[in-house]
Amino acid sequence: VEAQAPIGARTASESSTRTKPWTDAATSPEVLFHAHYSRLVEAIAAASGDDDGAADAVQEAFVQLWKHWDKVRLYDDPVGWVRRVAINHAFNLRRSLARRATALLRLAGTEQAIADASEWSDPVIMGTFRSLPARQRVAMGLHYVADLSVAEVATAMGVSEGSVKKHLHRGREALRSSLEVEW
Amino acid sequence: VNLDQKIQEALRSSVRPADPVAGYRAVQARLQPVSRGRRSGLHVVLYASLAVVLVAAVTVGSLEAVKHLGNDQPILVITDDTTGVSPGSTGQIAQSADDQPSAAMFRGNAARTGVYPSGGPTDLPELLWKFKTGEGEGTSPVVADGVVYVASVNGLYAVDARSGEEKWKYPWGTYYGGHSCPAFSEGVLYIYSDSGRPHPDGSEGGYLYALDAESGQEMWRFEKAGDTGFSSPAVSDGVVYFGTGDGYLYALDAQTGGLKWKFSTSYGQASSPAVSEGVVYFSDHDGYLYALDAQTGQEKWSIKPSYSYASSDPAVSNGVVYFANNGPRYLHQTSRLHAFDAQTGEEKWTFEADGPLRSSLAVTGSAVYFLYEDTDYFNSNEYSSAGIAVAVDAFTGKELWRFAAANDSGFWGIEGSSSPSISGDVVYFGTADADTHLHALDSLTGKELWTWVISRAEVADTSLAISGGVVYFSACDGYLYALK
Repeated sequence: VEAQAPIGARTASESSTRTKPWTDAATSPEVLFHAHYSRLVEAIAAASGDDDGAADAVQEAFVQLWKHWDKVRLYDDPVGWVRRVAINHAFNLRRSLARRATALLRLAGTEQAIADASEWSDPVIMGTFRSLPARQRVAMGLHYVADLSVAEVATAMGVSEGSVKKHLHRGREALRSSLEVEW
Repeated sequence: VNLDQKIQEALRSSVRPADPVAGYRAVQARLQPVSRGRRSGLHVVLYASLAVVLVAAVTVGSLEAVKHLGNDQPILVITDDTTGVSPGSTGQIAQSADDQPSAAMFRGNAARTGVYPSGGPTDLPELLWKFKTGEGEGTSPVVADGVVYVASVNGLYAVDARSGEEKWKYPWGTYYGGHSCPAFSEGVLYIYSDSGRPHPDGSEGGYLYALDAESGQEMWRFEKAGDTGFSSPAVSDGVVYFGTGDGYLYALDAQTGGLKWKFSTSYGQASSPAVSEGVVYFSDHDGYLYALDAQTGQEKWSIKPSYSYASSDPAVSNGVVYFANNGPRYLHQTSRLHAFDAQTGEEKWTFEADGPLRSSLAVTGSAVYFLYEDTDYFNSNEYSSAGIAVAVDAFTGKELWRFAAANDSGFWGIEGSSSPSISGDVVYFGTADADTHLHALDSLTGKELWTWVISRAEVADTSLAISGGVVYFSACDGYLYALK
């Protein structure tokens, strides 16, 4: 019903042809790995600010894919499944590490606040980006870095397309001011 | 270069390119049968990487701290499209009970108190009806004269409050625009919508529409190059006030749409304005709170609180402006609620919450209510966090009670939650984990009166509207719910 105006430079049809589940479904874990590993790592790294943690999470998701290939290959959208597992792993692991780090610091009597950030190309923009809620960062990472369509992001995050649009809209508006000052 | 390309470039340049060869090797290595030795080796790696994270975190932490002290870090206005609702209520609590139900807007009234005078359900309610608001989730609903108004990506809907039937729809073909909560005043609806279509000159941006509330016919529209951002219009004394993503606050004649004045901030992202006793209050992307003369747009005072990352919309009650901000995103983020004298901007007190702000403020004569997320609440479960509803004494800033509303065992936290709305002695709000919980608490004690659960439908981050014993709210499943 709606004319689907593309969000970024790409068009909806471009990004959906690249990851049609039915073209991937019958192939092998290797094929899926080569087609999707890098983009997914980079998207999650952008969202979490942790390059190594992102790689680790995506690797873990592919390990699970290999182990459970017999089952997962029959799913409607095996790639969506891998993305969901990777996101889950990345953010759970992150929370857990962050919590332990905080606890240890408290034990040591250090009330020093810890920045949840790595080396950013642009500290102002990325500072704003880092202050967004995790959902918005993940939606934006998958959409802008991995080039996924709104529907694909929704599947990967396990939320409705409406939610994804909301997260993208908010994240985009939050970054707008920083970007317009910068550029 | 458009905004999306800039975002894409900024995000992409923030990450190290992935190494698929190393990744493939790592996956294959993990697929090997795990021996005892290997397993302990993995643990060593885990602990080693934890140590690295710790050291790095401390280093980065101190650097960042200096940076935050040194620079004016830009802020982001928290997302209050907690775009509210309201029943046919007057504005300020104290003000004119005479000019009764002629206005309804985000947070119930122009002062944004979140108070709905007509009373909601005190016992466990039942579903009265639900209404599909198109493909996306709805904004906060507004209720006036027996009609509920709600917007979504598909348009603005007028729904019969009793039957849940559509009265009219004002469509807009947006895919990805932003929509404010509508404001109702004197038979006219005002809504700021980013139509998703460029203006004739190619610029992006939205329109402030004025529609006849009875028929849905457009009366006028005001074109603005700036996008909608997160601001919902307020109507007071024949003037419509709204903020834009590029940081302007506009005042328009409510009858004609003519520009009365506009006020520019340097950083963008004007919040939803609050209007009370001839003064307009709003905040910007940089964390400033402004007080302007409602007639002229002249600045009366402005202030930048100590915390300035993400801020609530201001709310005004009994001569005090309440305003909350988050600290910078550290591992342990806190937030602060401030009370300022509405006339002078002088700070009266500050309340510090042990977690980031997750809602707009609701303010009665005696207390301020809001939600924050406490990620340390459930220490036994590493992954969980709690949504905390807290009541703070409006005069002293001391905590009155708190209520742990959600235990999120997933990884999204309680980011989906609605702002508290108050009616009678009851505080209503929604929180979401896998399911949505609509809570009703005794506003004096914080005791739970009832909780209503919707499976697998996240509550939208909006405000609930309360009118005539019914609670109205939008959920992420794209339905507007009415509970009685």
